[in-house]
Amino acid sequence: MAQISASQPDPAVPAARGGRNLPARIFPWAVLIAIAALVMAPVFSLVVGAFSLSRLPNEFSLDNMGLDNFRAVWVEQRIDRVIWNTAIYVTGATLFGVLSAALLAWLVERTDMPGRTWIYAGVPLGIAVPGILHAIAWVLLLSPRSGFVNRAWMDLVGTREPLFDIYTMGGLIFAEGLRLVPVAFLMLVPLMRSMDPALEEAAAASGASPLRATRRITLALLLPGLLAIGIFQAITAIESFEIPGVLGMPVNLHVFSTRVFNLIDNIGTIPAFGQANAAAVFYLAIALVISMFYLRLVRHSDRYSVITGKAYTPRRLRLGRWRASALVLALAFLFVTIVLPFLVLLYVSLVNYLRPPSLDALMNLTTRHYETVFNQPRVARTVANTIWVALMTATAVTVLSFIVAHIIVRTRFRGRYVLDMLSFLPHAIPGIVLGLALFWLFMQIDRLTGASSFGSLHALVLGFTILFLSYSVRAMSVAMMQVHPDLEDAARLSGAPPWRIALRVFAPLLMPTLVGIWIYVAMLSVRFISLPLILSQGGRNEVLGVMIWSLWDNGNVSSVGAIGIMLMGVMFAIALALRMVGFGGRAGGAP
Amino acid sequence: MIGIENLRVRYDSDKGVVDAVRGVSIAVAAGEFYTLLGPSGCGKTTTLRCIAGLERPTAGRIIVGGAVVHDGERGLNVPTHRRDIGMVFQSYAIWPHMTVFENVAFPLREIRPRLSAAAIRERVAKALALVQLSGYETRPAPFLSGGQQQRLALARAIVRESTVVLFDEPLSNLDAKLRAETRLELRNLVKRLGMTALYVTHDQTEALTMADRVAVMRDGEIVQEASPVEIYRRPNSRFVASFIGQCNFAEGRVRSVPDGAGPGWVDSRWGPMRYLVGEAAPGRDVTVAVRPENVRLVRAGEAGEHDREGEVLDSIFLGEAVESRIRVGDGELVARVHPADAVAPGGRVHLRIPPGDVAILTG
Repeated sequence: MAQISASQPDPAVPAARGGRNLPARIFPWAVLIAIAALVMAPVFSLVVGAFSLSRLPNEFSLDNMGLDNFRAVWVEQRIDRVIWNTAIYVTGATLFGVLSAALLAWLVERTDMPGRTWIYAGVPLGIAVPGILHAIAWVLLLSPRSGFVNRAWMDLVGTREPLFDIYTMGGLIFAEGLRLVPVAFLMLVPLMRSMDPALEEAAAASGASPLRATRRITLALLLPGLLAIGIFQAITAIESFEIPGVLGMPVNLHVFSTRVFNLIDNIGTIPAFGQANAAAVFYLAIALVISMFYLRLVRHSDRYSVITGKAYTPRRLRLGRWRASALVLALAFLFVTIVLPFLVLLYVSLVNYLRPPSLDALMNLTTRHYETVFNQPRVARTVANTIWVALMTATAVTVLSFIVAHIIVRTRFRGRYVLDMLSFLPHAIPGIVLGLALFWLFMQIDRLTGASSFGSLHALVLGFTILFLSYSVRAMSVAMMQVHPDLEDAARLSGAPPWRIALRVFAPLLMPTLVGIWIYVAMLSVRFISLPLILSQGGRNEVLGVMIWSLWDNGNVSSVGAIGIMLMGVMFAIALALRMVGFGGRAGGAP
Repeated sequence: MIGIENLRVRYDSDKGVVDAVRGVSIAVAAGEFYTLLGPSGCGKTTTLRCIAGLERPTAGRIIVGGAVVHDGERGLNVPTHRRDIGMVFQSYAIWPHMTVFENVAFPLREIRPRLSAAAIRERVAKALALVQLSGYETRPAPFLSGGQQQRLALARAIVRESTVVLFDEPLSNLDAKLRAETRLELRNLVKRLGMTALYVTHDQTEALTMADRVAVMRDGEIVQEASPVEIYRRPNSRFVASFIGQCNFAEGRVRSVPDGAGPGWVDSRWGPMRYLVGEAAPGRDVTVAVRPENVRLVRAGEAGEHDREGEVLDSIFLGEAVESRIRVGDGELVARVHPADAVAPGGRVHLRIPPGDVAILTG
């Protein structure tokens, strides 16, 4: 049809084409409305809930509204202190994480450190370790009285003072900072790689010493990129729940995410739903402001663009006698973030009862805890739930982001900028906040329709889909922009309808990206616990993260170790698969 | 001012060991404009980068401005920033985070003891005036056009008034018209400042118009070094003759060498030809080379005894000239003639090739 109309201007043909274009014209609008509903409906119910003065969400009534929650949060709960804590925690963790990542990326990309390729492959593996397992490992090592390291230190020196207390702001910053390194590293490596070495050579030819050239040229040029990556990581830190939940909450050291959670889940007190919403509104506002700042920064980064698309083989700095120390530093990082948590969990899962490592303990290892875990029907159900959620979320997010990115990148659809903004918005919504928002939304839906959406697995899939949409739309858009439009136009000229172009041309060309996003999202939905913690309602939709959380809460350390080890094994396998498809897990919006 | 002795560069690449430079020796006099010319991969840029200290030679000695900056035997290697050089990069390497002023001031700020702010301002202004960029001082560097960026890179290279300036294909990113204008400007500027210049290019026009002396490189070696006129008129190999300008080649055998009495004779596929310069002994197999513009067409009535008859096979109209493919003897050659003198295909013509324009190549 298209072929004919292209060669013969027959008056009858345009009418036929117009008829076919009608669904094609409605389709982007339908997507826009769907995404808008997906993103805005929970936010709307969250904000409305913040004004509700009813004791429980399902008693919600428009007659009982007011500003009391906001006043209570500000005056009684002293949210200003939480803001202050969060600021210190986020700033500290971001500085520590991004600077560590920058050092590692620089060593790998710009120096002659031995074993560079192994470090390059190893650092991103940290993505595979779920945050809650990291946090638990740190507690086992560094809790003030019983942490293995602290105990060994006390015995060795004969003191009663611990070496390092992980239940402190310093502990939070340290643990979260290390968690930020892998993604920051993956964002920094291309930045360093794409810099034209002639810019540094010109400095040398102008008489600048290597140190001055690095400072005045390399660092100055990287600064805008570093800033963007820093803010991106700050958003990750501000939304993180796992580390502060395990390390800060037990000693009432609260940041925003734990405070909101604490308001509805605090043993011994009545859940304050309205107040939690009010606090979440503050929380969301701060995250939104930072995200908008990030967007602006990334948009205006062209001016400093040093990426010229040319393949460079930059001159590497000769480290000389520092080569060995650099390698030791990089290996120490890998040991601390990947090997150590694994070893600690392996130890507690095998030791017969929880005690510091000793010869005696190692002589009496047992697999009893693994048997216990396997014999619990709860575990089997939870694993099945987790797999189902991961598969459904990964598929939904991949398909949805493919459609959205295609509209944003390839069409002249009028609402594509709005669609772009809407799909970025979830990046600014912390998991806890979205959990709370969906909690309210489902409560109201169930109350009105009599359905039981709340507490179902679908609720989790929906929540995760919203949460991970912004990341995958960004990654997908970047990949699509690299497919030359001519390839698509050639298919169109051959007479293929849009859906066949998508299927026959785009999908195969984008296969590595599609597979990469699918795996990465599946991994994220296993790792993430803040959202399911709020939406979890007993066994019906319990997932692994939630189970680990509650086992840890009940002091069942051995089971946590056994489950954690098996989970980490699976996650490492997935992470390796991710590397195999050649997908760096480059987080959305990487400059 | 620049001296290279037996420079060798060898490095390991994915495809095995590569000998990028194989025993290059050059001597550039003070104030001379010296050009390294050759196809990509011939080692010319590597040689330049060795002089700048951006690449480390495997063996050899390099002298810049009277100081030994590299000596493989003594293990001496002066780092780039301590060498008395300025350099213009192919990509310009303009620092995008600085203004025009800051880009030019950068080399001055590295001078110890420190220059006063006033002195820096004055010298930057002078350098920018020389490249006609006065008034652009506060402009962020990325907001310049390609030609302006090129001139800014030049200003940055000359502002330190170092004895030697290195050019790494500085004009290759400009469009053709701008390139033609910039060639002369650049040469005049270097000459006016009395700097010693080493210029790397793959463009024969640049080499011929700008250089005092040209060295043609191939596979890491210098195959011929001479003045532009010499290298154009008397190439010593088929490679040089065809790399610089167009050339007709024919196999031939020397019959007699030129002596006081008259020109030498060579038998070729085009028939017997006279020549004036060449050392090949009689009986030796050689290549006869004639440039298309040296083949003249003469009218039948004016033909002399040494002019040869041929038939025009086809012609290409180039605007300022016509290139005709002509069959002569057992071979063909291309003649470049004024459009008014052109003969239609199929027509008979008489060719005159002055003996001074016939080159005898043994390489």
